[in-house]
Amino acid sequence: MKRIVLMLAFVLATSFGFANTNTAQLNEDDNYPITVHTSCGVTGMIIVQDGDTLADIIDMAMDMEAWLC
Amino acid sequence: MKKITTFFIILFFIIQFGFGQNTITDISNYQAIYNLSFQKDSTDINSKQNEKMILLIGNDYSFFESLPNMYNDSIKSVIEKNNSDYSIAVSQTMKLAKKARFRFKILKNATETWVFDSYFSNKFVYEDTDKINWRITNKRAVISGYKCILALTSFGGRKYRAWFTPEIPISTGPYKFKGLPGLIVKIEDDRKQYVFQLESFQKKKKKFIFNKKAGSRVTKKQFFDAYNSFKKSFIAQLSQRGISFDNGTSRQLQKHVQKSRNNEIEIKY
Repeated sequence: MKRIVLMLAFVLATSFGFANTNTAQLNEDDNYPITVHTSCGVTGMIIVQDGDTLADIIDMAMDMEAWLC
Repeated sequence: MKKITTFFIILFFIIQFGFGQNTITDISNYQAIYNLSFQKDSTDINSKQNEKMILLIGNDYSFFESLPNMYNDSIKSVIEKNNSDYSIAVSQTMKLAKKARFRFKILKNATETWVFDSYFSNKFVYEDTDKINWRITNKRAVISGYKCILALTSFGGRKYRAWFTPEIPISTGPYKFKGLPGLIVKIEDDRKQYVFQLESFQKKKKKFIFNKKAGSRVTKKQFFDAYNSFKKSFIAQLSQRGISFDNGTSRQLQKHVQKSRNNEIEIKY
């Protein structure tokens, strides 16, 4: 029985590992502001929210440039 | 016990195989670079801009995206690895990143077309099942140094003229266009608001990956409905997402977004 439970746990754990493609989050406090200076002079502020990864914040900064300039 | 062990081993491979299908990997044999000339404001002919686009052609699939977007992805992963501070990372990004208007990545072969698209950390994946029906004409011309034949089609609410070359017998092209007996060298809509033209074609080995789980799985209609609704209330939507701008600029920015994004490549979907 113990073996069966261990095998099942292994299958589920590895499967979850392969399926989970999210970028790891950094150990930062939530809800603090990041200032973004675009090339066309628009300054924006991103409030980091619970669950935001660094990749998400970088994407938003890049999009501010692409959408506003 | 032996039977149970065998069962779990089989279960393990079934699950791994199942998840594995969400990620498609291929290696290109060729790389084509296109210049895309696009008119971002339908009411202003002077609002034309250019963006370089890359088409990687592998054995099973071809992969298409904006070249600056591909570059930005690579610097993003370097910045992510080397920084633990969000502010420094964003400041480095703004110094190094290139302006990329088009965030989509398109993976296609003869039978399927998959699209990943994103804006402001909203990520979507959809399969475009719209068929592209071509009418091949007798018109011939030399375009970008290749002997080409003219074909006509309609897609996304626009009428297109495509010049393809039998000299490169690969049935793909820029954006979602495919299905001709040769590489598409040039394709433009009848108002010349979206013009893709081949600039270079060469042998190139480069790995490309498309992850069908990289965004929320939606239909094409759901994606464009969400995107268009986002544009209409851009400032309000960003405010909900925790993004704000200098005092007094919001109305001006909303106006700018509506004007500079009123002429998408697909008008009907």
